[in-house]
Amino acid sequence: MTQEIIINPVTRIEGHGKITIHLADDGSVADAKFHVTQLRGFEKFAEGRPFHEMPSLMARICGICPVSHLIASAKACDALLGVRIPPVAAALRRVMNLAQIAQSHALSFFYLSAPDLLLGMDSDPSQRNLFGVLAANPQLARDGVTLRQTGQQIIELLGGKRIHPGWLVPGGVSEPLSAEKRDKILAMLPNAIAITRRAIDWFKSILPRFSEEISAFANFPTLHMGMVDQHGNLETYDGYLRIVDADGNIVEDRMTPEDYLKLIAEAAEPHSFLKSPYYRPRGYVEGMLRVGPLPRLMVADRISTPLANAELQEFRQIPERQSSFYYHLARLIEILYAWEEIQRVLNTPDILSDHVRAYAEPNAFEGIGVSEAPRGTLMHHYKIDKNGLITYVNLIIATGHNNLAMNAGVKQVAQRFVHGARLSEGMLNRVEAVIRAFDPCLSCSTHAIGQMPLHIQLIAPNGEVLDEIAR
Amino acid sequence: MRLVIGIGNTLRGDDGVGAAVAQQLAAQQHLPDLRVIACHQLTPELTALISQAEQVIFVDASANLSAGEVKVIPLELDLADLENVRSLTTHDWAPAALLMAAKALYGAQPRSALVVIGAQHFEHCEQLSESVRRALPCATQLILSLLRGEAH
Repeated sequence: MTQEIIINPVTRIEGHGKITIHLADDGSVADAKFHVTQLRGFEKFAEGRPFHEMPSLMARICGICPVSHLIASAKACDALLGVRIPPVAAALRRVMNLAQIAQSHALSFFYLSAPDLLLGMDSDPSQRNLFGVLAANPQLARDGVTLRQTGQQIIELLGGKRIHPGWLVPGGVSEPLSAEKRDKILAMLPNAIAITRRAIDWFKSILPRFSEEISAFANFPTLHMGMVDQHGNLETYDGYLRIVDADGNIVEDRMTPEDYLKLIAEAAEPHSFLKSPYYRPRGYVEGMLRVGPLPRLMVADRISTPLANAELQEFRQIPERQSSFYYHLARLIEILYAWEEIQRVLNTPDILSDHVRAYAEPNAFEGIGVSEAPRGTLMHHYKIDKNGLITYVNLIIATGHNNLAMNAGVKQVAQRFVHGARLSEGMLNRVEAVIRAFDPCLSCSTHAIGQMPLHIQLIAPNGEVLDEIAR
Repeated sequence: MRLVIGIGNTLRGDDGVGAAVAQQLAAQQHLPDLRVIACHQLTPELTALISQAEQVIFVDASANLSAGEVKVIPLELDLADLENVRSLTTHDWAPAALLMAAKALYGAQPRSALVVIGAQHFEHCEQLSESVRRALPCATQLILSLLRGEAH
């Protein structure tokens, strides 16, 4: 008979989930699972709505990454209209998506994971939060606040508000960029770049302290998926899907959004509301994929901006770079890329053009939009009837792509760090921290219905509670 | 700069009263240094904005007061109380936590107060209940008097 440890909810992630650790009779970890306990409904209740409402509706999936859903949804609607949006509209959407990636990555790194990284996995849990960071390293906390604020201000300047901006519309964007707003954004970027470089240097300096975590945080071979441009550069708004294996060999390349069903299938597991997408040709579960900042760096040949590209080339020299612990470093490199790329785009001569929207009636009954969200590749697929009403929605969210790898990662960490009949807080924190490395957004991949207190129990075969931790 | 932060979800009935008060204050033309924002929840980034203000007033709904009752709660800063205000999440900080963070990070100590308005109905709708709606002018005037230094 096996024993079971339950961590419920997992803290410092976006949404609510729990972890169960199943012990064998000898006290070793037999299995571990990440359960998403929320129920999702967006695919169903969008049915019957006019298609042009979809960007605004889909943005409501999440208050952390509404822009990502706006982008993918607007692209799916562009496909329904059958239009090629004006180049300046695409450039402005690209800027907003980059600002979104930067502010979300800053939240993940500085607010959610910095407590573990700065104070240590075994530190006092009452201090292991953003206030603990604030007390121990105010500069790091200030840097986190500034980077997140910079991303949010760019989104607000472009879209009118930080959360749920309505500026992205089918066919482009609703308003051109003013010179005043462009200059305000450009003025923020040198400081943001300096802060990001400081954070990268700091993270590299602490890496030697985490050699055990590097070796056990979802450190195994999987496929990696992300977008690249036509030259193989890192891409986040519009490009081709590429899949590489653990050795960097290209498995799929130059795949368009319309190809996504050839690449991806979805499985459902009884222990979770979160589906488990996988690479269709290799089957379930051999087709385990990872997406997000780390896989994007794995699939890209290079980055088109100089500072971030220098970091990418250095990253490529790290022997254990497939460890999901390196999601943290990849996040910082992508923040750097975001600021550099926004600078480049806003300095292009026609960026203030007022031709930012294409108008059309629906010209297709089916549309697919794919973009890179902070957490990975995001897919929106819609079908409409002759009246433009939605008849079918399929959303594959980045967090879902990572589900199989997160479960395998939890098992790997539990097998390394959880031993015997006594639980230590630091041991369980590591089990949570591997999930945090992926930065899952459960609000996106499901639909929140509530929160439960953290309660971890280790129960013997006879029902006796051997150990218990509650938060 | 003086700052008013209206807190609440406008899709949950009376919970949106903080945002409604913020909207009324934003229309005041005679206070050029007044900055008014409305937000669902308080997040850590607000510390940077708070650090630039000489005065900050938070406005929120309260389920602990009778509907329409308006009350000013002084926000005492005591770093020893940090344990009581810290949150595990990144989206729902308490006003006192933000003020303490602004002090610790930026050395800022703006004059501050929390104005709460008693609320009853938090179901899914965009309307305030009648008694809460009637309290809006009173709450707005109270905040204006706080901004003028006339009320404590």
